[in-house]
Amino acid sequence: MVAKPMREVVVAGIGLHPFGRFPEKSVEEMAGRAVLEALKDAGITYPQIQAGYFGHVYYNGMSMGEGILRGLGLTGIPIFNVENACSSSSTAFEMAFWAVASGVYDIALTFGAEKVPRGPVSITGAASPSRLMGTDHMMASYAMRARRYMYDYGCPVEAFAHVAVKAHRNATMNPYAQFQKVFTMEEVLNSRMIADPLTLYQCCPTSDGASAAVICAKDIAKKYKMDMKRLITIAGVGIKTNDFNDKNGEHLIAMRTAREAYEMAGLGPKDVDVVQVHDAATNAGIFQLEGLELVERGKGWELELKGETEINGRIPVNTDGGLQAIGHPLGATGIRMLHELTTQLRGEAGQRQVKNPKIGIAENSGAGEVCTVIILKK
Amino acid sequence: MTINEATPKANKPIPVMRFLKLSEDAKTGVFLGKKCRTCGEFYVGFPIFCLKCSSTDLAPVELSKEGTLRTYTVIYTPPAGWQGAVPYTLGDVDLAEGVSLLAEVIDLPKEDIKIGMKMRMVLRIGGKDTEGNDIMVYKWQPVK
Repeated sequence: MVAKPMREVVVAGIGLHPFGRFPEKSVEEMAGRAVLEALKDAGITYPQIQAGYFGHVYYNGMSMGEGILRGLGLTGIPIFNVENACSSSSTAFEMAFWAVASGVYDIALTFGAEKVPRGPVSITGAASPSRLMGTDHMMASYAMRARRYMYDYGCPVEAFAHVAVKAHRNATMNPYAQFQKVFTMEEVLNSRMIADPLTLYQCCPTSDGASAAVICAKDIAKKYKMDMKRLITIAGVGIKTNDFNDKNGEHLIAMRTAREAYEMAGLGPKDVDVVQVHDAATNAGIFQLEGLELVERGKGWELELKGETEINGRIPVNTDGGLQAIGHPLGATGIRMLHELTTQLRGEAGQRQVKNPKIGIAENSGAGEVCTVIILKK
Repeated sequence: MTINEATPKANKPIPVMRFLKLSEDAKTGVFLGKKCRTCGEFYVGFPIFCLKCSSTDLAPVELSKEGTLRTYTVIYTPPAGWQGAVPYTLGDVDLAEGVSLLAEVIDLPKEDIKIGMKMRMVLRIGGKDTEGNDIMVYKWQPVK
């Protein structure tokens, strides 16, 4: 039996600072910009916010969330700093959701920001023995899962590469994306090898960026004079860490998380119109579709190669470019996914608009492991 | 460098991980682990709880030194701290006890690697500690 919210909670405003490399900007400045955009989008001002939930990974001094929001006013609200690897801001979002759903606050701000250092992301510290073993390599773990999947299900490397080709094509229609260039299948496959079978253009970039969302109880949205037609309901949320049996498949953690979110929403995979998955490596962009049960285990690669995950396909995935092309500022990614789903459900995605979507789902993975799944509903 | 150089200390090879127990001459080693007396699950290293049934009744065991390659990758862009050759192959090997161990695969051309191959653990010098002792690391070598 999953928990049920005591009242309906909506996404009222969204904001994004472009993803990319911004050496001249501080993380505070980027986050501040995303927050201001979200407040403006919701049609409210900062003093109306009752709590802040900030997701980030890299440590840049204590109480970063307070440091960011201080620039908007000293209103004395509680601010929570949340670190949960790449799932940090979706975790912060879910915490804000439950606080509003249970009546602690009527309106909350949830945001994420990061400046990620260049080079491969390490999970362990410099003194870890795994450095001498050569095993501390984020993309190697994805690559080994990819190799085994190819062996088990006859998947060709082109299916993984297609995830990147699709992502980059979608990102050319997204002004917030780090990359805005079309890549061909050949360019993806012939780019520098990182960890076989994953080439450079199949590993997401490291990025700077920020994202923000204002959420509130729907019954008080009127009081704030919000545009009721643009409100998007948070229909289901789930968050899980590893279960003992997850060793039997990389899709299992997302499956357990999604089932919780589906049950809360009273929806199933067949109801989903637009999808966000955590494609840190291209193969994960396929595995997570199986985790969300949008396609049977072992068949995700066929769905991908048939083009069914394109914007005009049966199950549009990562319509904004996903981690592969919009970029991956770790703590900003979770809410960035919700930014895109909200934009799609409002029908405001312009050139990359999916035809009339009603239900969106976002899956955000983090090292640990942790997985969050959030379902939004028009 | 000082004028009076200290007498070089004897090299005392140390294992890269505590669960790798070296022989007296550090030429061979075994993987130490635990077996849950309640549910029978095996673990590498020294967990206090069984991750499956949460029992604390765990018996010390020595794990297999051979296993089957479950999956692999050839790394062309190495992580920070890697001191070996590039590219190098990483292999995840399933032991008979149901646990797996990740390490470099050696003595095998990268084109010849195949899922399902039998592998055995061998020891190599992986680096030196701050006192100049060899740090012994385990690697996978194909069983011919």
